Amino acid sequence: MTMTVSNLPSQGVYLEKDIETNDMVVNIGPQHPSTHGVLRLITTLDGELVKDIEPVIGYLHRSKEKMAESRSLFQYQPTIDRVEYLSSFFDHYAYVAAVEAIAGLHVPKRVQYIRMITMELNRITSHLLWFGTYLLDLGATSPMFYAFREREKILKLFEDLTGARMMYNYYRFGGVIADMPEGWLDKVRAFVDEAPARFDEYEAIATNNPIVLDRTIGIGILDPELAIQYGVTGPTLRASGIALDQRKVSPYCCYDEVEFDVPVGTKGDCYDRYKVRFQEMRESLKIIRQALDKMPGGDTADLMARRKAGDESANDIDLQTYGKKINLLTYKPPKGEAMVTVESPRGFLGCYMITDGTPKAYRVKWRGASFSNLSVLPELMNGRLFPDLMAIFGSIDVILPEVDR
Amino acid sequence: MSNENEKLQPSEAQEAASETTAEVTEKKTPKKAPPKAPAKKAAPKVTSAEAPAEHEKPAAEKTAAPAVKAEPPVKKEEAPPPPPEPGRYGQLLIANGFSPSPLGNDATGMEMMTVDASELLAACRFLRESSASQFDLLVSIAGVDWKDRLEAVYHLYSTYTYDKVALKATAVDEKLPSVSSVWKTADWHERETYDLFGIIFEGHPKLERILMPSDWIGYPMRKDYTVNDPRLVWNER
Repeated sequence: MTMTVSNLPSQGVYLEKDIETNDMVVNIGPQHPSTHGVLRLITTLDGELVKDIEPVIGYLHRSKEKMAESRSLFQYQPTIDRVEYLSSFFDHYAYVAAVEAIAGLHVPKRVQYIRMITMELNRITSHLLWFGTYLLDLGATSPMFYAFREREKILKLFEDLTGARMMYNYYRFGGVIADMPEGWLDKVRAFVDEAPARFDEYEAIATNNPIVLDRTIGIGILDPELAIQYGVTGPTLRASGIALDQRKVSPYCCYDEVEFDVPVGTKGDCYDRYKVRFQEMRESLKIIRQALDKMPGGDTADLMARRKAGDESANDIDLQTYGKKINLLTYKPPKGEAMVTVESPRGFLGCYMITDGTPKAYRVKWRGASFSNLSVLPELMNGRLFPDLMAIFGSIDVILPEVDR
Repeated sequence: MSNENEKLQPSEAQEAASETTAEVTEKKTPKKAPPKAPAKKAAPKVTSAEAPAEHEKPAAEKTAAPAVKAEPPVKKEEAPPPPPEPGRYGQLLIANGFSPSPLGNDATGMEMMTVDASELLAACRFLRESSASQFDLLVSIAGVDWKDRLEAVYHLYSTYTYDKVALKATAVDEKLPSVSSVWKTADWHERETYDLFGIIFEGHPKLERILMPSDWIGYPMRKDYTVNDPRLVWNER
């Protein structure tokens, strides 16, 4: 590109010079605090204008799919949490539901409600972390601590329930490891009662902040047709106006028994994605509240008391923590295949499993939502300025383990 | 001694049995008979022809054949299960000139069918553009290494009808047509399938490795992949 520069006039004579400028290739290397993982972005810049951006992935490839071929179905389970660490309950649900579909295992109602509560709490933790890191990318440091305050409460709940704060490994084929601890439902209720006020407080950080509004409104508008072409799903797609939520259109795991709305954006810019995710957190609270009220059997203490008192109805199959007693160490599901997609905080998270009658799965394929969501980044960055990169990239909410597996 | 002979015999008896009197052993396996039972049952039949059976199997065939004249062979030769009926989208494709082989439903009730590699691109374009199917979202492309062939499984989703379908295509000479002109997301999915399985997608704009380092040798997800390739640098082995 050439620019003409005119020198200062000396005695009325103007000299014009041509300056050649080249495009600069800047490597936002795999090690970077804002790339939410090890992602390399090769950006071609013309000044501050981004001409081209090429994501290079594979730095976090851990061959999760190959691991499944040398481990039995049960031995593989602890590694599934790490396919996408922020939504480990969703990873587990996709895997366990695939096996349950292939083997035709019955899942008790109580288990489904527990799974639903844990998945929705997981959605809230994931969105809270996204909120904290997104505003950190935009330059604000305090929202991170606010978000983690709530997140810490949920992680404590998970620790009470599963024993772990992040890698839960709680679901089993046809059930869960163990019933909820006594009083857990009350703790969840206490959290759900105080959370809406907190979420309003956090959302006000952006809504009332002119810097955040300037950096997100009208930036990174994603056309819905283009989004579907690139396989984008989840809040990123819903912010563009398409109300596609698997929990509503093909309900699984008792989502058809609770009422909730699916927040949809209008313009598809970063601000809409922000709003959609916050609203989703509130809808998750709604779902959890209803699930707490409708929990079959109620609190574990009541259920145990009923069983001790000899109440036969408390031994109903739908009040158990597993549908069928199976020896997990030698469990051989029948031959078959299943593709189960769940609505994770980032979109369609899928587990495609082919079993061949041996204890090991023949093929396990993970469909990560961020893999397709990330591929739309070059289109969104077309002709934008460089500082918008972090605003747009953060609003897509990419988690690298899902991309690379 | 005779016991030992009988113990040695099960392996041979099973070999011979599996070759010629397969009917007899197959009839027994569904009943989950203990492994000794078929041998014990077959052994008396083969004992009479034991000597020739040890030497040559064709001899065992000739001697064992007359022993097997009961109904089991008739049950054995029953026709293989009929191919599944085409589902809704199978019928749609058939009605529009394609010839998919239906595979029934998977465990979650999603329709599956095998499409020829030569018709794959046209069938995908048709499924996306036809108003009867409207599969506008390509969920994933999964490569599968059945030991004798490589296959790619395309999971399609419709954001209009919320329906799903799975198309399977066997790679011909490890090549398949690229559907990146139909769905832009196929770009990255096909790169991943190429990277891990070695299926070359013809017509892909830039088919290069995406997950493994760009100079990696070998296709890791194949069943016969070993890491001890001497062509790799020592620290990558």
